[in-house]
Amino acid sequence: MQSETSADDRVPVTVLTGFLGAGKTTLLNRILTEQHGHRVAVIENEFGEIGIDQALVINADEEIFEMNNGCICCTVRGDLIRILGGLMRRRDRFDRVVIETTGMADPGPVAQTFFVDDDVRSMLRLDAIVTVVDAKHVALHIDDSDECRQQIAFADVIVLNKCDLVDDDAVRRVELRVRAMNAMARVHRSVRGQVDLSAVLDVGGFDLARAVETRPTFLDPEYPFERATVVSLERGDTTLMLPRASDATMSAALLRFEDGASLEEVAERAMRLLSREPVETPAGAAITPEEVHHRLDLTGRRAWTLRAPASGRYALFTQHGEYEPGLARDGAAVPALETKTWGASHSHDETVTSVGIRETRPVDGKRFSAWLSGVLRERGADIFRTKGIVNVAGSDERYVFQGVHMLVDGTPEQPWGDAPRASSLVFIGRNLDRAALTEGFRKCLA
Amino acid sequence: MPRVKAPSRGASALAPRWRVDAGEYVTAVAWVADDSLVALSTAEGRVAALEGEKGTPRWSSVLHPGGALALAASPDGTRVLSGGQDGSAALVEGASGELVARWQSPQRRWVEHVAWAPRGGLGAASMGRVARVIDGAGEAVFETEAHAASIGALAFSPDGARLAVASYGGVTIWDIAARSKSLELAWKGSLISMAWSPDGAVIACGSQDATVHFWRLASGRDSEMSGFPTKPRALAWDARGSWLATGGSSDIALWNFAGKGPEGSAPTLLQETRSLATALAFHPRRGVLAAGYLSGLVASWDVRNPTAPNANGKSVAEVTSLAWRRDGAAFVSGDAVGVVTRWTPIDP
Repeated sequence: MQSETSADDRVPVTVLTGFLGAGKTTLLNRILTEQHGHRVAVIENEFGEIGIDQALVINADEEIFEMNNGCICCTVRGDLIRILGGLMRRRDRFDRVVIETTGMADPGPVAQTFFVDDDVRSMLRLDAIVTVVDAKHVALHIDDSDECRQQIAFADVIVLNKCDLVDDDAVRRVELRVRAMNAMARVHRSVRGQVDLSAVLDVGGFDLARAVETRPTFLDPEYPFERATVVSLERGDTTLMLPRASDATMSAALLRFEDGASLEEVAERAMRLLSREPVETPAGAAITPEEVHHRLDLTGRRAWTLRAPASGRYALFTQHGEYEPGLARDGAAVPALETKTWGASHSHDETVTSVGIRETRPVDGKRFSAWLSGVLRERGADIFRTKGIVNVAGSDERYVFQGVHMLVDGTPEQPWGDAPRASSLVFIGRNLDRAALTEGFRKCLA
Repeated sequence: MPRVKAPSRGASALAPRWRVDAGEYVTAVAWVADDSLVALSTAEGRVAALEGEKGTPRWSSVLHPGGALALAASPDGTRVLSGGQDGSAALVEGASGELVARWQSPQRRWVEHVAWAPRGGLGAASMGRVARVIDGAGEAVFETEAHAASIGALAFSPDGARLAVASYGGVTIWDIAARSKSLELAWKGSLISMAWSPDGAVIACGSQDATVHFWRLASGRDSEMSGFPTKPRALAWDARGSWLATGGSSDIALWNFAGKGPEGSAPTLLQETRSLATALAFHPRRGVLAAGYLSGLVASWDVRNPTAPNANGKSVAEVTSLAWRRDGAAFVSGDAVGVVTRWTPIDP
């Protein structure tokens, strides 16, 4: 796939998705009436009136089929290929196309259609997937409905609508949950679909040149651990105990505070340590500081020995935040000086998550490409969207990419200049293995 | 942007007899009324006819507001069947443009494909997943069941007794008199174009995934041709069913169906330009192929001399449609900005 050159006069397409009743129609009507002088073609599945003044409304049967381009498998909307082909014969008449999907639609095939058909790609560009979420009722669907989660996961823009019908706390909870699932989307709260249209149109969600602008808004840095327990340890052995667990294993690392270091600085070191190959650590084994990423076996007796070479301030980083470590020495409890938890706003059972990877060290371009294609080929069905900026060794330009399932599009874009060089990647998908993704990426370092 | 090579040395200039601006993207052209008129349809919704000798407008009507997607003339030239984005099909008299019949597609589905049987006087129009067969008065003779997906192409058998309907998943062949399916040719792909060989032996289809699939009806054997850079929309058989020309590339592939057939061999490639071939039509009797390209190039190829076109001309924009007059002494092209040109082919 190749991205188009900068003078892009293709017609922008906005995909509008969301459950029935979330407020898609209200937002659509605003787009149609407030964009004065713009001719908009709307493709939808419900019966519409033909020829609203500012819009042409076309009724479509969602016809989805699989296509194989070599080893890349994708699904596309056949009806859109035909309809868009028909519309584009009059392309100087339309300024914009809006595709409104049904409530239960999977946005994946819609998006892929724009990358897979040459005729469509030559005349239209996908601008953004906009998902309207009913702040009051989404909680009823989000745990049971794949479609609901997919619509959130695929979005470039999430309009959290009906905020007047729920209290602030509830809105905040929904917003946090949605952001945890999709760290890339811009989330806007609205009442009766009243969101600034500039937030919804011409967003550039698939535009590589604009990928440099988007910053995934992780609530907290993406650490592979959820709890840090800061303690003062004496030289020698201290017993570590963990409560009964529902997980079979857990990653852990013990690090010593260097003089004047902050917990955040130690946490950065822990993050790097925990992306290394783990060492299986059965009950009773020693946990030594630095150098070792321990994988604790939680199935037997949940006790280990923290072996400190010198007295001092240490931090124990553990993967699952809900297990509070208990420490004891010579029969007396060793209290935690400080405890910090991350990611407390979402539970492990979140099927759809965003995995973010950040790294300042440069990456080997070939190895990275091979790794990314491999990941998308193997897990593509579960990876909804990917986006990233890569700091490639030996290149003066940012390598920018974006993908939908297995279809990925990347190009060197924008020289780094004086900007600090760092790679930043986001994967949004189902049952993502954060550790595996992080580890795999780190193996691509130059 | 694809470059257009300068016309081959030795190729004559293809002379335009006349050129008319129909105003909007031309979706189809056809000769009607004893080959005295050229009928055309446009993306503006217009169905019109121009005098064959000079291109003077004869009749015109906006039959399909939103866009006329398809047009076909009956072999005797007395009828023009058209379909459009307004969800209707219309049957008009070729000579006058007078409306004979009109009908709506259920749920206003676009009528994207129309066809006339080479013999027997029947026509057909697609309406979403269903095809309707009509007679010369526009009366419905038969309506198919709903296919698995929207219809991608229609073609009649040479004797007009059967209608082939292509959609996602394959081709269904309907026996019109018996009102039932006579054959199902399955293939898991989205079929976007179809051509039934004039000898009835082979059905060829272009597919969304940039392949051509064809079936030999007698044996049921099917084959796939791949390696096209893009989906092969343009397909054309010569009058005897010996040659199949395919688009989907700047190189037109000529597949030889005479004798053993093309299975297992490479086709002859007609190479002239880097621009995609977008329209193909064989001379009514001879092995002469008219080809139109994305750049607006129009070329005439003689299959006996495939190294270069025997003549070249230029329309203004992408050539969308071609139609030969029955006597083979003229052909017409329509293009994406509305230019309709009548060409005088080279006499071999």
